[in-house]
Amino acid sequence: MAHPPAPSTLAGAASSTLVESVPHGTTAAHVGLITPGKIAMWLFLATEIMFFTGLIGAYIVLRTGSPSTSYTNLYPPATPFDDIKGTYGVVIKSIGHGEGHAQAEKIVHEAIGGKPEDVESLLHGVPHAVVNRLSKDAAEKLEKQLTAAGAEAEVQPLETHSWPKPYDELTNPLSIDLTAVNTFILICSSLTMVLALSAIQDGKPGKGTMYLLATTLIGAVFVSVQVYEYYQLMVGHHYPPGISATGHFRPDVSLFASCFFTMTGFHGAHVTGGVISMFLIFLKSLRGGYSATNYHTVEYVGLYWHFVDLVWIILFTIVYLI
Amino acid sequence: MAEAPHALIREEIKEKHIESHAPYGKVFFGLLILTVIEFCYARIFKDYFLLLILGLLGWAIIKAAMVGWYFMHLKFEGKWVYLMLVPAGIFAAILVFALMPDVAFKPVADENLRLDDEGYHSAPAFDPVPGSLPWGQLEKTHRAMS
Repeated sequence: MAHPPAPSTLAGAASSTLVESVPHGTTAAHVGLITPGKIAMWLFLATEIMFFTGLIGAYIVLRTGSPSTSYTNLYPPATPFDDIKGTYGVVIKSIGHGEGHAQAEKIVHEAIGGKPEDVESLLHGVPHAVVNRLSKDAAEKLEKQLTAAGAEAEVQPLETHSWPKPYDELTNPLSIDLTAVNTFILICSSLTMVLALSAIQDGKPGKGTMYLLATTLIGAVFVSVQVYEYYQLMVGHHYPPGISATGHFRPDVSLFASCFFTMTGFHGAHVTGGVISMFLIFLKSLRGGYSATNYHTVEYVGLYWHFVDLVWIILFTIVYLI
Repeated sequence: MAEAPHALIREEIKEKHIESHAPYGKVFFGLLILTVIEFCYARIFKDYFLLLILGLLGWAIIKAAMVGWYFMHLKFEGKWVYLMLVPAGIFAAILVFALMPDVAFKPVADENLRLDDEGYHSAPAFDPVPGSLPWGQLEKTHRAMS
């Protein structure tokens, strides 16, 4: 009794014309088999290229067009420059305990006025608490008073930027160290993914299943780190005014913030989709669903996964490092 | 009909043999080393914007190319893949460059803004050749319209 040919063989047969039309001198082995599924996946990836280039392109355009005074070390993003030109600020890096703390609070209260809650909220930003809208003399006087009370403070003139600089804690809240580790994690998942496909193609589905599990777990770790990062940015930390007027880095606080959350958010959604797909093919692989002649689904999900990795390499560079 | 699938299976085996024995370990370590280089480079040149952007984009493009070429098996695919990728890339580039004049050159337009008597900005247009636009005429028109 003749067995029906495997789906992959049928797909290969459907594309035999294409395979045979390889130029003379090129071995067929060097040309990947063209299957309808693979064409569909590459078409999908082509649309994804346009999607992410749209996002990245909009980021480049908005960043290039950002006025040179949009971000400062002392004031919230987009504060009108004419109102703050020539002013100074005092950055409070540490504040004493007990009597010294109370004295520093009193000094700051005298400098900024307002309610005691305002002073408390401001000092919550230590080691990047900023007292702004001061003249040079007033800033130097405040610094001396705070130093005498046991606090560590520094006078800073107004500095302006068109976009937050990497590693500048007064304008940029992003943790490059954490994200570099996360990038490493995603690259590891690309390796396990390609090894999973390789093992299944080599007729070792058990090994392939383990690699698929590893890819799923590593991908989940990447998403978890990103969720942790979002939590820290939006809730966990109190940032100086140069980052956010509210003290929290949320999508509505600046153009930089909305660009950051839009791009990394869409990428995170793609990774989450990839992790779910990976988990589903892992379950199928666990039940013996893939073999040396039936591996194409793994290949398609792998293509998607590597694409997501590739996009992250670009995003990490242009959003975090530049 | 019976022979064609056998021929294809032979080709498939050859293809799988090449793909499954690609230098994935070497590519992985290459990507790791490039990531570390990128990280250090960004710290060293953080205050030199031009060096930063050129260097980091260079490293990122090399890394992205390695992922595409080896992990996504572009090395083993036919030219048909580029029939999809190249047009997508061209359309994406058009999208970016089409937006550039309106948004990216806005600071130039900001410098050309004029305040009228009530303190409103008028004529927020891009002046391709500085001084070529008749600002006085535009302001008069603006006042007449309002």
